[in-house]
Amino acid sequence: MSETLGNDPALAGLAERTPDARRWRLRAETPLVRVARNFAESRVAVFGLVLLVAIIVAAVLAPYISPQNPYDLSEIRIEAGELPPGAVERADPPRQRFDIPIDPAAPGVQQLALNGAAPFTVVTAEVLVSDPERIEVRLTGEPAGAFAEVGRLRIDGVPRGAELTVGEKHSFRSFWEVPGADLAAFAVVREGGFEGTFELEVDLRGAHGEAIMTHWLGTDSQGRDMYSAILYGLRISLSVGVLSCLFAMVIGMSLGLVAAYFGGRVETVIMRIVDLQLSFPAILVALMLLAILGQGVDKVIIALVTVQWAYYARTVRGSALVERSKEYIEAATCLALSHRRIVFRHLLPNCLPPMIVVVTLQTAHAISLEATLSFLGVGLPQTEPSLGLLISNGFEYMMSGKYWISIFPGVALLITIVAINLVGDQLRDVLNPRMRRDG
Amino acid sequence: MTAPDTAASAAAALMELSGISKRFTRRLDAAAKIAQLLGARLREETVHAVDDVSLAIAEGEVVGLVGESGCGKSTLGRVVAGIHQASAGTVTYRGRDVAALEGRERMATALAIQMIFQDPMSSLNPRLRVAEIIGEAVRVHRLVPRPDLDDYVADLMRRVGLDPDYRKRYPHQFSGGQRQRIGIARALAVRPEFLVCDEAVAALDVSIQAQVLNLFMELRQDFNLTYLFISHDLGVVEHLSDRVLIMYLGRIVEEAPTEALFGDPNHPYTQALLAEVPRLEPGRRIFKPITGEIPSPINPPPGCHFHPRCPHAMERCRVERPALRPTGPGRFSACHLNDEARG
Repeated sequence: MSETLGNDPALAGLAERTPDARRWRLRAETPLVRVARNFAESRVAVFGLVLLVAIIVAAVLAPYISPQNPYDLSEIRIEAGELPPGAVERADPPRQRFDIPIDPAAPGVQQLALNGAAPFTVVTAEVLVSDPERIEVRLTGEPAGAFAEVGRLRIDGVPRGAELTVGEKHSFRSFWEVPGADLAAFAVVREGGFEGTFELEVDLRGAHGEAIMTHWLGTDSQGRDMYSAILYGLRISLSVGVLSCLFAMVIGMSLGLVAAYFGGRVETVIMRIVDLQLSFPAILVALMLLAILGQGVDKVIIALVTVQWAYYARTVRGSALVERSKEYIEAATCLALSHRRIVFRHLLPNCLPPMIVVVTLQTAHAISLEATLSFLGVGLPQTEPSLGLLISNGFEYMMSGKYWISIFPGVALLITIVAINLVGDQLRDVLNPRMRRDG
Repeated sequence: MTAPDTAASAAAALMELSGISKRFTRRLDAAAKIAQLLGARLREETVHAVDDVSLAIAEGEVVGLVGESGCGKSTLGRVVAGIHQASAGTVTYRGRDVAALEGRERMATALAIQMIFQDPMSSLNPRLRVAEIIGEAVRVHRLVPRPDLDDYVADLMRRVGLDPDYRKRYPHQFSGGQRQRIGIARALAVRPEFLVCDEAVAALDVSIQAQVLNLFMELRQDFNLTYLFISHDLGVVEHLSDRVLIMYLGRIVEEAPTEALFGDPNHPYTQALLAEVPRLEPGRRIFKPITGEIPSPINPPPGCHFHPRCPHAMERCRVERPALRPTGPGRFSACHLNDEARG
C-alpha cells in the first residue's frame, strides 16, 4: 500500500503532511545511508566499529601519541630493558666524586672539590685525630638530607693495613663499599698509627635517577616501551594488511569480473588458476615465496597479494555471474556501451556488497597471516617490527615470567582482528540480499 | 495506421532475418572428456533455441511474436536486438547485413534497434539514479550536447509519463509500472527506429499493462517506431499487432495479418492456442489443454515439431519438416495438411 502511495506524485504531498512524513522522506535515502542505518542496529558491531576506528586512529597518529619512537635507537636505553608493566624508567643516577685529603699531623675543616653532578652542592670534611691509631672523618653536605639520596658509595685510597669503621672492603679489590647514610661520620683505623698523608677517594651515586617515563606496558629486552612499540607495530600490521588486501582486491576483482563477463576459454583459464591457487594452504605459499624473495615490507605484501587474490576472484565471479544474467546488462549491451564500461560501471558496482565483506574479513586474515610469517621469522625485518614480530621477540621471555613482552602485542593483535571481524560480520548481514529489509 | 499487410513486401522491409538459427552448446569440460575416453557416453548438448527462422518487418509495422514459454521467442528477439549473435543466417537492417557493419554504421544500427525487457526489477541497474540510467548512453555516445542533457532526460521522462522530479531517485523507489516506463525512456533516449518488446507487460498488473500498452501506441506515432512485440498473451498481441507470428519450438509455424489469424487460424497449433484463450462468454465451457508437454529443444522430435501433440498428425509429419508456404494473401503456414488439402 505504502509503495504505490509513495510513488504517486499526486499523493506524495499528502504523505508529507501525515505523521508518517518522516518515514516517507527516509524512502528517498541513498543505499549508503540505508546500509549505515541497518549496520547501527547491532550494538556489538557498532562497538567493533568504534574500536576499529580507535585502533586505526591510534596507528595513524602513532608518532604523535606514543611516548617513545621505538625505531630511534638514541631514545632507547638498554638499561631500561625488561621493565615490568607500570615501571618508571629513570635516567642514570647522578655520580659524584671527591677526594678527602687527610694529614694526621694537621687535622681541621676543609671544603672538598666536587666532581660530577648532584646529589651534593657542597661537602665539608672535618678531620679529627684524637688517637694516633684512629682518624675521625665527619662530612657535612648541602643540601641537607642528600646523604639519604646516596645509593652506591665506594671509598678507595684507604692506606695499606688501615680499615674503615663502616662498610666492608670489596672481596678482592681495593675499595670499600659503604652504605650512604654511614658516610656522615666514620673513622679510619690502623694499628700502629699512620705514616704520612693519604687521600680517601669517594665515589658515590645517587639512589634514584631522574624519572624519564612510566612504561605502562613494560619494556622489551632492548628497553623499548611496549606501548609505543605496539602502536608502531599496529601501523605496520594494518598498513601491510590493508595494502595487500587492496592490491589483491584490484587484481582478483578485475580477473573475476573479466572471467564472469566474457566466459568461455578466458573464464576457464582464470578460474583454473584460482582453483590451483586455493588448493595450496596460504601460509605454505607465502612461506615459500618469502624464502625466495627475502625479507621486507614490499615482499610481504607481494606474498600476501599472491595468496589472497584468488579469494576475491572467486567471490566476485560468483556474484558477477548472477548479475551478468540480469537484463540491465543486456540493456547496456543493447545501448552499445563499451565492454569496459559495462564491466566496471554496471557489473562491478552491483558485485561490491559481497566484496566489502570479503575485504574486511580478508584484511583481518592478512594481518594474522603477516603476524604468523613474522613470528616464524620470514616476514618483516627487525628494524620495522610488526605485531607478529613483537610477539615473536617476546616469546623467548615468556618462560622467565616476563609475560608482557609477548602478551601485550598479542592482545593488541587479538583486539584488532576481533574488531575487524565484528564489523565484517555485521556488514555481511547488512549487505546480504537475502537478509535485506528494504526500507 | 496503414501497415503493409504482407511479409512478402521485402523490398520495403526495415528488418529482415533469413535462415536465422541460434544454438546454445554446452561444451564438455576436461573432466567430461576424460570420462568419455574411459567409455562414458557423454555428448555435447546443443539447444536449438531458434531453428532456421526467416521473417521481414516493414517500417512502421507492429509484429506480434507469440509462443509458449521456452519456444525461443525471447532468443529470437535478442538476436534481432543484437544482444545475441546468430549461429547461422543473416540479420539485415535497411538492406545491410548487420554483422558486416563497421565503426560508425555499426554503432548507429545498434542504437537504432532497442529492446524493452520483461522484468522491470532486473532490467534497471539498481546502483544508478534514474537520470543516469536514461542519460548514460546519450552522454557516452554524445547524442545530445552536455548542457542540454538534463533537459533532454526530463523531456523523455515526461514523454513516458514520469515526473522529472524523480530523476535523482533509484529504481527500487519506483513501482513496477514506473520502472517499465524508465526502461522505455532509456530505450527511447538513443532515438531508436525499431523496438523489440520482450514480454514487456507480462510482469505488470493488468491495469498498468493497459497504460503501458497505450504508451507504446502513442510512442509509435510520435517517434515513428517499428515494433517486434514478443508475448505469450494472445489478447495483448491481438490488441496491438498488425501481423502475428506464431512460434513453436524454435520455428515459425504460422504468419498472418492479425485479423485473419484470429479469425481463421490455419495451423493446428494456432487453432489449439486460440481455442484455449479464456473469454467472457455466457455458459460454462470446458477447456481442453493441448495434450502433452512442449518437447525439449535439446531433443526436438523429427519432422514437424508439433506432431507429437497434433490431433491431425500423419506419417509424413513424423519424417518431413513442413516448409512455411503461402496459404493466402500475406498468410503463411508450415503444415502438411495444407498440401493434402490442395493435392
